[in-house]
Amino acid sequence: MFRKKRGPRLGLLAGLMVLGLASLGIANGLWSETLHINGTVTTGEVDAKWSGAICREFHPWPFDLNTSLPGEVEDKEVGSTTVAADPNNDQILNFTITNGYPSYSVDCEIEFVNSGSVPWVIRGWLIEGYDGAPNGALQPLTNCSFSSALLTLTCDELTVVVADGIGAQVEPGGRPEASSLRVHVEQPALEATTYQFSVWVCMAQWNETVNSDTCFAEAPTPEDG
Amino acid sequence: MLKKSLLSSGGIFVMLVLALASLGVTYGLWSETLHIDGTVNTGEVDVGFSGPLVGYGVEVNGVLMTWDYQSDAGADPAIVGNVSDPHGLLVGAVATAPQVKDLSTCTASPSKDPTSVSFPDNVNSVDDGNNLITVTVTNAYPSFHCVIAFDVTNFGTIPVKIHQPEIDLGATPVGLIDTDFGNCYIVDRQLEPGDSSENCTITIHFTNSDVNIFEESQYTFSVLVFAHQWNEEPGQ
Repeated sequence: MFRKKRGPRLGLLAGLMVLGLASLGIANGLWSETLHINGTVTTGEVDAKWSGAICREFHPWPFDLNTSLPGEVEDKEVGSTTVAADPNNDQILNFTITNGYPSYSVDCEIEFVNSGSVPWVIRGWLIEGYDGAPNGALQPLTNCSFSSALLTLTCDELTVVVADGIGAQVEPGGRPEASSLRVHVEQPALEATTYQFSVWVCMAQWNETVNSDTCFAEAPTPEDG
Repeated sequence: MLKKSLLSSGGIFVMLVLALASLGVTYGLWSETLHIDGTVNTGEVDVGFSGPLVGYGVEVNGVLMTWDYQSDAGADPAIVGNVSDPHGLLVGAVATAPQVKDLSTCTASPSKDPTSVSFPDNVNSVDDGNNLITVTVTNAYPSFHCVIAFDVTNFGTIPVKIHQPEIDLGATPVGLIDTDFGNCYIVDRQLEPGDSSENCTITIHFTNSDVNIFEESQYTFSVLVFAHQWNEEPGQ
């Protein structure tokens, strides 16, 4: 009875001691060296800003390179259009028509530049009309519909069209082909009234292929800073 | 048991990899948007009458005798109308008036007509001009003449074209109102903002030959002057 109990205990103890000594030997016996890599990653930036715009009136609507005539009907100076980058935010372009009237048409060449350090690709355009509550002279646009295929916003009172550029890749410091913004005042527009619309263009890093919806879902707006 | 634990560990591992990968897809897109803030302010089509000027007279033995509305000499004190003449027009000349002149009156009063038809509804604009002239003639008789002269002014910010007046006589017999607008501005006269047209005149007059015009009767008429934005024609 005494032999059986002592045998396993002693053996176990011995084994543990051996393992302990062995591990100690491993810990203290290894000659080693450590190399270190100090890593710093500075990321680039996807950035863009408006760089210029110029507008020309024309008639009749719609614009046709071969048949459209410059200026207003009878060379009059009735309506006028101004466009300029917002002085406080170069990602916002302020576009204003003054004394517009039914059939007044204007075509603006709008330019933007890759002000970041990462190439980007134009992924989509979006146009929306103000359809909120009236506020003084400001009235909502009615029955608006946006066609992403034609890049056209059609409302009873206004038609807004942007030219393409989707898919164009722009290197840092580069500019895409100038885009076009065209606006036409429709007959149902009320007199002495203000209408508002917004146009957004989305660009994304060149190495990610995304559609327009994804681009707009992910991108910050200029108002976000 | 070992197999089961291996499978569950492997499964958890794969799930973790997939989860991390999906996180990378959702938040990895670098993108930017530019914004165009667009505003369209529309102008206004607004026209109104200037004047009117009123003059009247009577044929005496076939000779038209008229009164200068600006003069008290022979003037009928019942004359009501715009006594200023922005265009230097005088209707007729001062003459010795027959005794019967004081029995009739002809008035033309300008005002704003709230029922005036305009398109679209001017919910935001103010109608600056007088768009109604109310003409009232009392005690008219054969050979009595009443001449109303008016012009049209563009009070808006958009050039307009004005049509010549159109008369609707209704049940009134032809002959009471002179429908010949020869002495009027040209057809489709174009007015820039602030401009006024030449004068146009309406003559109320009938003779003894107009047998359908009876004594002690009332006749009404209306005249419309249509104006529209210069770059569009009605029906376009």
